[in-house]
Amino acid sequence: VSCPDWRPLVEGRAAGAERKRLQAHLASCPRCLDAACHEDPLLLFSCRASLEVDADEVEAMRARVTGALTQLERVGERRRSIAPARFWRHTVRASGVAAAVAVLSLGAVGLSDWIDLPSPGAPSTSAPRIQESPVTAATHDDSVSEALRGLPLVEGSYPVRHQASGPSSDFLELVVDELEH
Amino acid sequence: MPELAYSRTRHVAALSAVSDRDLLAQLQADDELALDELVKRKTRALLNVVYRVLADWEESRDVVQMTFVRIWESRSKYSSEYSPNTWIYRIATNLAIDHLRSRRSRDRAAEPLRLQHERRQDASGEQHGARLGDREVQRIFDELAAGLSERQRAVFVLREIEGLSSREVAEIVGCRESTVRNHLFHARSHLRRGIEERYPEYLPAMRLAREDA
Repeated sequence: VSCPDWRPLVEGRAAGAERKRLQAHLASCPRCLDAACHEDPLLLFSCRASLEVDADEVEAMRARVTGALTQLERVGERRRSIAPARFWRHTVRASGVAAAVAVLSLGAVGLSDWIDLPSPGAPSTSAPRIQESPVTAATHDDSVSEALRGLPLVEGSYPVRHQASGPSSDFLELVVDELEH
Repeated sequence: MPELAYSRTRHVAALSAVSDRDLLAQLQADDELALDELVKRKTRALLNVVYRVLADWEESRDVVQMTFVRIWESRSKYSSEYSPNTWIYRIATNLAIDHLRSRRSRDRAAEPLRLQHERRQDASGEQHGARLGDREVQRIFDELAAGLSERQRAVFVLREIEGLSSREVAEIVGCRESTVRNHLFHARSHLRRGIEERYPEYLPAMRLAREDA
């Protein structure tokens, strides 16, 4: 028996049908495979006989695929049958929520009319007014502020204000202002 | 009914004569018999490819079954400008890669159990003969390829074992040809190093050469 030259396979020159033919030969000829593996050990992996897949195996696969598709179809049908029920359930639930919101809103409007509550935007007359300190009140008055700004600085000890920086610096300055006043 | 049975038989016979591309066109027309014909034609090739990637017969069957189901579900997405084989291999390879990925994460979780199982297998395992059986070669490949990424492994199987061109492999795996060449280079280097370091005794020619020297 004359063996074909497998060198093109080792050198990567064989392609397509030629490659398949040489691989099949190496898979069936231990002598050639040994010699070829001496050149390229990875041929041990690539030159193996194809798996035996007989007609029974193919028929079993056909049955498996058909079974899987039938099952999927059943699941799809079940989903389709569930979908309308789910739609009505969601619709009824949404309608119930909308009705409850409407009743509550109307009830609130009616209640406010009945007890004559002020509207949210109007100023409250009953809320207690916070008493301002005289100093703070004075600083609100422009004429007083102008007058204070015109006063000369008197020699003496003044609180040292540290320069604050960062996002909380405004708040710190506000606190220091309040403490100084 | 005899007329119907006859027409069905005739249809099946007609389908067995059409090309893969026409078969997928029939599939797009919701012809379930076309799927049967596709199963008949592609089961063998797909089982071979997927088994080379997964190295587990039962898992390979599951993945091939899922492949056909996926083909049926996404039949409308097939465009005739693509090669049917490329499209089918692409679905199968992606499913196999996903399966391998999930299996690896499962294996990592069950690592102590796996080691125990392997030790038991080694203790009761078959003695290696002069010629390596395909099962043994597959086991070695599986062990060495564990250091490869799923994509590198799939590229090696498609390019080196199935003999597809780099362009076809790129289309199947969904990357550039240069990336395929890169994956292949890494896979080959890794496997070659693995064989030489861990299994030099499994290369009879190399062993004979050493003995002669």
